[in-house]
Amino acid sequence: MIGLFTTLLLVLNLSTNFDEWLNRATAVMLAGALWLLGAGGQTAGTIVTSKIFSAEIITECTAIFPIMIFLAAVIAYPSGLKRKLWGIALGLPAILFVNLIRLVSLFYIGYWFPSVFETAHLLVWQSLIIFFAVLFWLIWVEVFVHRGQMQHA
Amino acid sequence: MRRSARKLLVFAAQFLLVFIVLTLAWPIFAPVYNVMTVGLANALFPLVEEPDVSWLKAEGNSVAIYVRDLAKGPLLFGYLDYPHSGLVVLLALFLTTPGLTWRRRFITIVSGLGLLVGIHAVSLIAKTRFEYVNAFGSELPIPDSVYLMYAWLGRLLVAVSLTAPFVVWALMTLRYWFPKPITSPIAPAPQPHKKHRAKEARP
Repeated sequence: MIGLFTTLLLVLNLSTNFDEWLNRATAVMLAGALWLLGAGGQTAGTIVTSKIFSAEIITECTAIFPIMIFLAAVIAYPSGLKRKLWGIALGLPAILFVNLIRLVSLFYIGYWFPSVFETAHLLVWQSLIIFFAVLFWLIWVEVFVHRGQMQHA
Repeated sequence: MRRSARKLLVFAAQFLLVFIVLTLAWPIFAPVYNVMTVGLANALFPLVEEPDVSWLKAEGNSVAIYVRDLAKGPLLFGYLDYPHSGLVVLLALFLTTPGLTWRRRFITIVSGLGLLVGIHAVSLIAKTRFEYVNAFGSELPIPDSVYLMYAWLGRLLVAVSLTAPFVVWALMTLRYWFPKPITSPIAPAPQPHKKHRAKEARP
């Protein structure tokens, strides 16, 4: 799993266009979510501006790290291809959604409680997003792998 | 013990609660932990630097990087903010993992924290070295391939510091989530006595 993870990192690093594309895509999603919430989100490249807060989206802001952890764990865990595909199909959108909640909440924290923004950004959410990736993997193992094996037995 | 999805959600809720409480208490215990990791990192610097010019100082939640200068004394180079964010998450994970006895939980917390101190001390050294690369890398004639490798290592370092508490937790508690299946051969059933077998054989 560690080998798979580092390989994924290397591939990500070599394809810097993907990196840039992902940052822009995350910025667009964040701006859309802020617009839906009435905060008037807009993007200029990887910079997201709104009525309440502005920030630049970098690689660490995207869901790429939790997604890679989740992917590596799903691929490495002994199970059938169909179950792995179910895990990926459901897990990736779930992680992207949690990451969007993370970014939107950070915008509001930056607006309402600027003094705790750094704590929320670096201490709370960076750990929580990885926790959710691990949690989704545990749920996948329980629901799609273990329960499926019990039904087949 | 196999966990159902519902029990996993209960675990998640308990984790979030404990995580929030520990985050609120973070300013109390983080400086102590910071002093421990910085002390270990300073002790390890001579192994990677010749002469060891870097010197770290714990300052609340941050770590100040000083560079020893023989003429001017230690010079402040920069800061590493929130370098130990994995501490809260590791404690919360250990405290809420279901199926652990309190004795076992205490042992895993102590040994897990010991492991995390080591990982954080090593990552402090690596982060300090990367601060130098970030500061002076563009001024040095480094080939693209070497720069790419540094960039990759930098990203790996971020990933390691983010995932370290989860890896430590998984290594120490995964067998409580996914116990080994029973692989020992089933003991053969006791053979009936010869007399009984003879009776059974009769029509």
